[in-house]
Amino acid sequence: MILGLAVMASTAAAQTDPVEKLQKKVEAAGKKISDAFVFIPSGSAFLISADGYFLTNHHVGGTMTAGTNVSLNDGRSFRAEIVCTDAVGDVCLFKIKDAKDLPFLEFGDSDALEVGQYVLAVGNPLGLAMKTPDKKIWPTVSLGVVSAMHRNQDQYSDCIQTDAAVNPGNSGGPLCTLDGKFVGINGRIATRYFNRVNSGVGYAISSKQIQRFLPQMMEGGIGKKISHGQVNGFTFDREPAQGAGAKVRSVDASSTAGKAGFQAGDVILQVEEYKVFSVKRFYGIVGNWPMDSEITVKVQREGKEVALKVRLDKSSSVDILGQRTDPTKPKGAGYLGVTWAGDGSSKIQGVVEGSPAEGAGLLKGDLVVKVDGAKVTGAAGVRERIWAKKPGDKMKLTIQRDGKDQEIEVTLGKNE
Amino acid sequence: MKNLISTLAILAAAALPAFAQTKDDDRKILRAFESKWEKVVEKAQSVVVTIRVERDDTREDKANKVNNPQVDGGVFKKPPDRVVYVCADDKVEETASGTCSKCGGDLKKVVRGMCTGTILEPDGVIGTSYFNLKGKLTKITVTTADGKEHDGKLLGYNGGADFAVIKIDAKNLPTLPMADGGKLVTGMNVVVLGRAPDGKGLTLNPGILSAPQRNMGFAWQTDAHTNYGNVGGPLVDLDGRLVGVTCKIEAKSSGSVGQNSGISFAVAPDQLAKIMPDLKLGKSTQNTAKPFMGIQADVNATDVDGVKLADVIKGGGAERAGLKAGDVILEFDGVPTKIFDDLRLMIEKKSVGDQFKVKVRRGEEELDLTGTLGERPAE
Repeated sequence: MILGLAVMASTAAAQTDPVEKLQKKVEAAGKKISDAFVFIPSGSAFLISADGYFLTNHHVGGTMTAGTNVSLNDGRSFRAEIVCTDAVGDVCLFKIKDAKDLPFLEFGDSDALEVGQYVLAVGNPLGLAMKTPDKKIWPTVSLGVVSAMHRNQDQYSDCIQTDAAVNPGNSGGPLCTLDGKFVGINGRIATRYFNRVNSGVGYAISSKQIQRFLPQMMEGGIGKKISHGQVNGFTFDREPAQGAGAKVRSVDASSTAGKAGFQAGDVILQVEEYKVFSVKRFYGIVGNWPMDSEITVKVQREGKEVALKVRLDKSSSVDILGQRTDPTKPKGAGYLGVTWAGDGSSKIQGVVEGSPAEGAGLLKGDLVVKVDGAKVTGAAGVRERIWAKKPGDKMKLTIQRDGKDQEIEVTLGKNE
Repeated sequence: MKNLISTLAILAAAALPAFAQTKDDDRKILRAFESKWEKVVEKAQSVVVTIRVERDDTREDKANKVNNPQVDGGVFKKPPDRVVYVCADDKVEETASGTCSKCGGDLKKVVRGMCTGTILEPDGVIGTSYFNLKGKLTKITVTTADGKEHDGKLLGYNGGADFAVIKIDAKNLPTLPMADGGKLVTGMNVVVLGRAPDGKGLTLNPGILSAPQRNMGFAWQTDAHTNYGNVGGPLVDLDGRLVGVTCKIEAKSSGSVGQNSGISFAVAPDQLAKIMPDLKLGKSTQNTAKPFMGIQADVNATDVDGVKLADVIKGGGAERAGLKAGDVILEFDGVPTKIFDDLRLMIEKKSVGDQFKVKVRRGEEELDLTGTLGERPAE
């Protein structure tokens, strides 16, 4: 029996050389990814649908509000426009106009990655790619491994670390498994002394995070923008809970945390399917969901595990380009004319005399639950939707008054 | 015993279901890589040579302004040479103290550089990266793998390809079979071989081919690391075939240190075959004469449907034609130019001295201008 095993093993080795097998996979994946690669000014991008949706970093494409010219590996050029941008998560979604039958990359499962697993980074580092006389443009393919998972690096709150060569210009390009599925967007390099070349430490935004934001981004978010979540109202013990969670020191009763039922002394163990091993990790996981998402948090309380549901507030993180994400009214935005209850909810506390709100019949005490059919839970959400519109635009509010839902249409005004 | 083994086998199969296969595969891959690399070293190490040069310390010579990162727009074009002081007996002193501490003789200032070379033909023809051979050379010493030192002679160079050919007096030197250029493909496993800075040890850096047709079509790009030292050495596949000679160290970085970018280049096999005959005859080219319009495009301009000019170079064909910074080139010889690459390719297809026609948008108005292409200045 032992002999038999040995013979089987040696014939198998002769038939498939593991290095050749790996090389075939890398070559095939390299071609597939290059086909779906998008050349965008000052960075990289890649298609995720046949009709022309593509992803890049916010720090690459987020400011191209007038649209941009992009090119593919086969030399074709297109005009593309921003659909929605995620300034904190550093992800920007574009669409090529009137496109069809384009090659694209499928989503891989970034949570299933293992440290040490081979990955490919594809990009246009240092702007090296130029159209060759046969009209092709070749992105750079580099091979490496997953160095670490679930790293919390500033705005990249749950990212993948890789040693595949990533340099300036790779930003926005895909990180892929060897079956050619994308598991991340390369966006950052750890560097020192202003030496901005590959250091063997690159960070990629996980595909899992992007999947949580993508449905809302496809619909244009709120005014082509989308916000991350956080839970307001906690303070944590500085002492780590021995690597076993995040220990809550106090909870503000009127805050989101308080209303969701968190108590002082709770040890947060898990958020959705992710184990929490530190306070930083807790912030990291929560920052990975869009504002207004409902997530389940497991805590340990007096020896028992308790599951709590919480709807996320808007993240106050500084965005990737260093801009504050705190709401400030943009110039020329629409005006409703209400004041909100101070608890962050979308309950109207006052209606300004002579304002569009008064004209439409909104009253003190009304709770806004939907704006243009989309659910809202806090004043911040309503405010953003108002500011995404212009004076004269119509807005449909669903409000709760005396326990009943009611629809009110209002034409926004101007108030400088 | 037999029972025990079968029980163990079942246990192992039951305990490690899903990814046991992958982990096992990974281990196999690593072991297979190791044995392949060993064989590559065995086959290829004898073609890897050390090249040491000495050059005159003439400060006017651009090649010697190497320790100033401002040279050439912050891009190193050459390795940081070592400046030493030698006496008549060739005893080396590190400091310019005036006389030799051993023999008391006068000291002469010498600039030394070192890189790797690849034996290409048995009768002593060696290929290397050109950048280490710039400047006014006084001596080239080639150390072959057997430790023997040979005087070398620079036969010729191609500045655009960053490739040079050296000849030493020797016979029956080992060479490597050439890889089939048509069969190379992105993703292929390769290694870069080099000589360590002291010239004795062999270095090996594995990687894959990253992209074809870089450096104006002269080179393949690889993520195997090249640095000052191993550049000029061979890029070989895992069967020991020569895929190229490494060149053009990409040193673009914002600091004064740091290689390790994972962006390296090697002169492609078909290009080697094309340029070698001329170089062996001593026909050097700094850069082949390329048509030049004299514009700098704003490649990051996203709000235009044409090529927006960031700058127009003084004395160039574009300036003489009346083009100005801020103009948007919409058509070149009647063909729309949506992106800069389109325009660049059309210019490259023409020759120095050819006429060109452009349609330009300047502010509100559209202009038709004509001009003559000049010659691309040396880098």
